[in-house]
Amino acid sequence: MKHILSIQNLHVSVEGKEILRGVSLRVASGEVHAVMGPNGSGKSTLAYALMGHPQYKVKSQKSKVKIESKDITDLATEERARAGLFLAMQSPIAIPGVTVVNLLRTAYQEKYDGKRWPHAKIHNPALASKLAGNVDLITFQKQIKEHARTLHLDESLLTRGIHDGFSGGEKKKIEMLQALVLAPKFAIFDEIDTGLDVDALKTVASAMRILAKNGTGIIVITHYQRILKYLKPDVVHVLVNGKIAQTGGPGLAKKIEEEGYGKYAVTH
Amino acid sequence: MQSLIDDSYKYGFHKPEKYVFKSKKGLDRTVVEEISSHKSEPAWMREFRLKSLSLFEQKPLPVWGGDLTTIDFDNIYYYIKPMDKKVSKWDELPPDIKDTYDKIGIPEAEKKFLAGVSAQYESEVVYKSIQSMLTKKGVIFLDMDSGLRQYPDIVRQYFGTVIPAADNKFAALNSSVWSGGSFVYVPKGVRVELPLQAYFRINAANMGQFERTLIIAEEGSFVHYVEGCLPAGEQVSLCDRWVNIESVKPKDLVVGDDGREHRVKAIMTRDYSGDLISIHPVSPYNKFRLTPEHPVLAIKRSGVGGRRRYGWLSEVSSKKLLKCRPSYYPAGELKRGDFLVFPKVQIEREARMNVDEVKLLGYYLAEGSTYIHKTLNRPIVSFSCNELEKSFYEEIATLIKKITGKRAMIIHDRKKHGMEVRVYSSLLRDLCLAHCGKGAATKVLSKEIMSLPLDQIRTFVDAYWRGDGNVLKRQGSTLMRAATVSEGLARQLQVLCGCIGIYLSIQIRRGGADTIGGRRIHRQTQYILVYTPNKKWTKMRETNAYFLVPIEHISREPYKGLVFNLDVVGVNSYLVRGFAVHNCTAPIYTTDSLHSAVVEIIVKKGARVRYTTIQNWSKNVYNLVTKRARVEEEGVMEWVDGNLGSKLTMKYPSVYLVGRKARGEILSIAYAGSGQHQDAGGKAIHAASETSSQIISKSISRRGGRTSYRGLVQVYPGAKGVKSKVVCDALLLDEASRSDTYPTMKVDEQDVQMEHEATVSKIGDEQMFYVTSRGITKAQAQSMIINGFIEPIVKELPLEYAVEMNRLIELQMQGSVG
Repeated sequence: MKHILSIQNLHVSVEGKEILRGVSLRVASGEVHAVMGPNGSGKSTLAYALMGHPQYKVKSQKSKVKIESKDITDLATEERARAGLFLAMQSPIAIPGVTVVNLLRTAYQEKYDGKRWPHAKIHNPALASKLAGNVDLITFQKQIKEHARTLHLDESLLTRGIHDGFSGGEKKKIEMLQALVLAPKFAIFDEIDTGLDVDALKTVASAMRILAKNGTGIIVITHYQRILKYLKPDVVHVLVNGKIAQTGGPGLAKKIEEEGYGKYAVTH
Repeated sequence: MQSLIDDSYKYGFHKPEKYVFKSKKGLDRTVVEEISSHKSEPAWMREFRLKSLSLFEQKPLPVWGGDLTTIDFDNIYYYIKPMDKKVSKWDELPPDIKDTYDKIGIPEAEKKFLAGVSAQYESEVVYKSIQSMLTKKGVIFLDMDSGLRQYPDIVRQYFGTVIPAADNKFAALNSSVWSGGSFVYVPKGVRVELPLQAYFRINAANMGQFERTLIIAEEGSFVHYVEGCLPAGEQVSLCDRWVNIESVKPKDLVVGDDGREHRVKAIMTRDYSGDLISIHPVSPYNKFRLTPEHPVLAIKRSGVGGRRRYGWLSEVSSKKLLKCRPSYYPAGELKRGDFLVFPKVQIEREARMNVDEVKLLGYYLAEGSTYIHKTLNRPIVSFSCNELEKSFYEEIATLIKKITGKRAMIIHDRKKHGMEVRVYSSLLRDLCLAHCGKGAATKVLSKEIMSLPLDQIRTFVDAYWRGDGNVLKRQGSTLMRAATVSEGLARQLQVLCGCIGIYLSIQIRRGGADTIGGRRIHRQTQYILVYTPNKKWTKMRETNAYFLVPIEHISREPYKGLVFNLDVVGVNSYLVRGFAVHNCTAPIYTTDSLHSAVVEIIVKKGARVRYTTIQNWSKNVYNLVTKRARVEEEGVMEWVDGNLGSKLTMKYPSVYLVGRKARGEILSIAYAGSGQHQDAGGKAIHAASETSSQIISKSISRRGGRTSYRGLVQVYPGAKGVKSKVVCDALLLDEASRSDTYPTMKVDEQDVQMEHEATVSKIGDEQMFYVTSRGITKAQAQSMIINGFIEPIVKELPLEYAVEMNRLIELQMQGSVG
């Protein structure tokens, strides 16, 4: 089923300073969009604002973010997630004692709770105890492990506190893992390529392709076109000064790599 | 149906306080002498008490730590020896205390639990269990008073040597008025693998709790002592379903003796060794076991009896029986022929389905199955009937048409003489799954089914019976029978049938290898449901509210292990396997009271002692405890200390490392909510070379709660190669809360290795954002982060304590977000 994530005229300010000044994007299921831009152009702001971080204030009179017809502009973070949005963070915070498996299981349960039998709002406790969504726990853990293997992730990480003492590469892969398990409608990857070596980069890119193939619409936020080589984005946007300066095909990324952002008048 | 129970029954649960002995309020020489003479103590102990009293009077209150000036030492009973237990009644509490709890904003059921009312025990130590095993090994595990009586020499040798009365004001107080506590002596080389547990509770208002514990671990021995008031749940029965109850939690709903749902306040457990009474009513499946003193709702046959013939049970006059009001009798007093009370479950009934759905679900329960066809990838619901039951399968097909609008296929299997009614419908599949589950052994009924109106239940049961039941004519009476392999279903059907006036007897046919028609098969255990429709008075009697079911047989069996009890709000009763039994005797609430214990531990060469405490005192208790261990060469002492309750805790478990290579570890966790101050930490004194210590302290403060870490690491001159590590992490949940760290280090030696880490974190917005961005609610995110925070300590606890700890924290956290 096709879904559309539409961002219309998004204005966002952080601590009173306006960072995004009217960004509009339209991403459909299975599409890969790359958002490139120089430092301070508002790339991460875009990611956090879409996910509803409390510090990023969206000017809601002007702006509109929708998944299909559902307006998520003013929703709380967890409700956005349940509407199908996912954010892989650039430098995710450690949460000691909360394991990846635990986090995913809870998230998964939240996602499917009550949806399986929507018309019968009935909860049969004896059955529910066995299920995480429509999958039982053992199968679920197997799935997680399988995804971990495809990402060449050490299984022992799954039972440690999430991101607690993980290396840079491990953190990125754990973020990717969560996207694979939760299979969101739309996923935003905020500089997932930084700090990855070539092999890891390829692994992550191929995981993203799988995700897109299975219908997730993807926004990749990046500095360089390095990852785009392996990813083949459908659309490339250049974000400068809180506005989309140019939109084009995959060729645009290459051009920027060669020419830099210089030609877009960068003012601070 | 409160009226069903005679309020003045005689087993002591509602009696007013009665004490064998109660000292007057306040403390002076005569009180101390009275205590000592009451306990018939040796002269040296009496002297010790009196000397301690004068030290107590001389010493000033500590000016650091929490505010102690509000303790009114003259308004405390220093010694009470209770005789009877008294029921805790929330309504009897002083209104100001109730108000306090209302201000904190906790629902009533939880208040009692939080108040620790339910989880604390008598002033005299109650301990049970494993005594014989211990005796064999030469281990002494007694309450301190008995210890003093039976082993005066050992006690005299060690008592007050680790913590002298002069140590601090509260140690002096305890030394002069101590009562209860534990005495543990582990001989050389003996390892006690099971944790020793003791339970305490404060019983009467304004009573101080001054227990005294002395543990001596001889060379090379090992013991783990658990001091706590924590319950863990396992075995009872519940409401719409009968769950097998590891999972009863405070706040769950159970059915009381009035057949209605009530909230569980707390679950209690204790170690028990002794006889259990096993009661076998009509219906073998409903057999249950309990301790002899546990009260069971019943009617004695002797009270309603008629003629009696030799060797037979006396006949019963139904008229008398039905007029008689049941009352509670200790299980040990029941006899064969007495009548148990099987209440009919009275819940709010609501028609959530139409008759057709109910009927079809009944058929599904008996004959149906559902699955997703692998190759077609379509949901299927199918019913298997006999080819001869034409009206039956045609009715099913009609019902399917009515509900789903689809025409069902009717497939004839000539080989099996079967007729399958099949339909592709996700609607019907979902309906069946949600209300009945699937798989013969795992079918379970939903709450909606259990709460159908009575006429619909009749329809449902009839439909089920039409599918699965058979009729057995025997000696002129008719038996209706049905068999299922689902234990849960059997229980649920018993409850359902109870509602419509049928007492189902459940017989168990054990599974195993069997032969049918020359084929060897493995048969699952079957539950055979039986009732006799046409005989009104067989053995049981029925009133509007309950069945009276005679006891067929009673036996006693020895038992060792944990026993459980529930504390239920309102009715003080719950159902075990359908039969009404009484609550435990809950202790009462206390007004501001003082808990001032002393724990002394001597760890000899190469021995290891672990001492675990989880305290959840009510929020008006001053918890001022002195805990210290002296550790000799290569000995190990581990303190695991959890502080959740109390108004003010001041507790710093200490290790005095006096022998080479001695090691001490202190794990401490504290939670402070509104109005609470947890001043906790640890002390490590390194008096010998190569000694090592580790203090890990974690604290959580919320809603204006205050936690402090107060620690001391001291290295004596001449103690070389000492290692010490201190980690204290504090978590603040809001701006109003507070956390302080007061670490002190006194090092008089060069060759030491010291580490100190302290962090204070707020549950960061970033962490919350991260977890919620995965679709998890704020409340759940917070509790996940907190559980993660305390995980390093929780994993050191014995399993049932770990589970309970998480539950308690969860309970404390409820309603903390939005």
